Amino acid sequence: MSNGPIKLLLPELEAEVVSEALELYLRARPAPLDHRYEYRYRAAHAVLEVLQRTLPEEDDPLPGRRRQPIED
Amino acid sequence: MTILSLFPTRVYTAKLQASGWEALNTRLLHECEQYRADDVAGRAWSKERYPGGYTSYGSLNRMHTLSPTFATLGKKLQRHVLSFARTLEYDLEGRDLSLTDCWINMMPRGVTHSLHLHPLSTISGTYYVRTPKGVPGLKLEDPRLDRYMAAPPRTAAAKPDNQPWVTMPVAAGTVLLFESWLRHEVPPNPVQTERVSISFNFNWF
Repeated sequence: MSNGPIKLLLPELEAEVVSEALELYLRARPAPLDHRYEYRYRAAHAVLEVLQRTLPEEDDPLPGRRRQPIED
Repeated sequence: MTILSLFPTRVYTAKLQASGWEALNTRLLHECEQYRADDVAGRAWSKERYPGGYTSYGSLNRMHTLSPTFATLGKKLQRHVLSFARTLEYDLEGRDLSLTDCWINMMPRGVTHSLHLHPLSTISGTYYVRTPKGVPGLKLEDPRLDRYMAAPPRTAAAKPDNQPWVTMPVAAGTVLLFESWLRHEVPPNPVQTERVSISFNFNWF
């Protein structure tokens, strides 16, 4: 499964809140303290990358322009 | 007629211990103030991310590994977290729920902590160190809020179970736990005295 559908499943506010929380968490804790935790870090980085790629900039006049069309 | 309540959002609250928490809080408060004075990086982080207040979230976020006093708190929290996990009927498969993050929050008058959640964690919570009269509680948001769409608002007198937001009162010596996906915030502190708390994450390994 590609990462694309992740954004489509999340309303915009949800995506912003999750993105903000993930970014803060990963910035404060750049590496897992326990190797058993590493897979969650990799997943978190992947989700954050997708969210940041698709979220509009705050001053973006056309917030939807970079989004991919939704295909059922 | 039968009406079921499914998919509950559980929140755990309890006194950390029956007695003696005041002495622990005195030590914790003293250390919080000392760490704030010493933590240059944390003050810089807070200036940007926690305006007017101090949090060690971005700098000293494993306080239980730095301070024996915080380590003591961590051990006491473990019992509550395991109790909560039993209530949630987690199948931990013999693996640990471990304290991974533990940080200080100090909120003078006017400081707020906006809506957020705790990613990469299983159970999160806060222990309250100083809660002067009039300080805000912890406001919790219904995790399904974004899906309501056409749902009518609830009456002002609706039971907490039916409210989209519930504010939990907070009190010094009390621990409050919730599952880490639950969004929450602290409204602005309206009183002069600082609200001081210690937040934490437990992870399933």
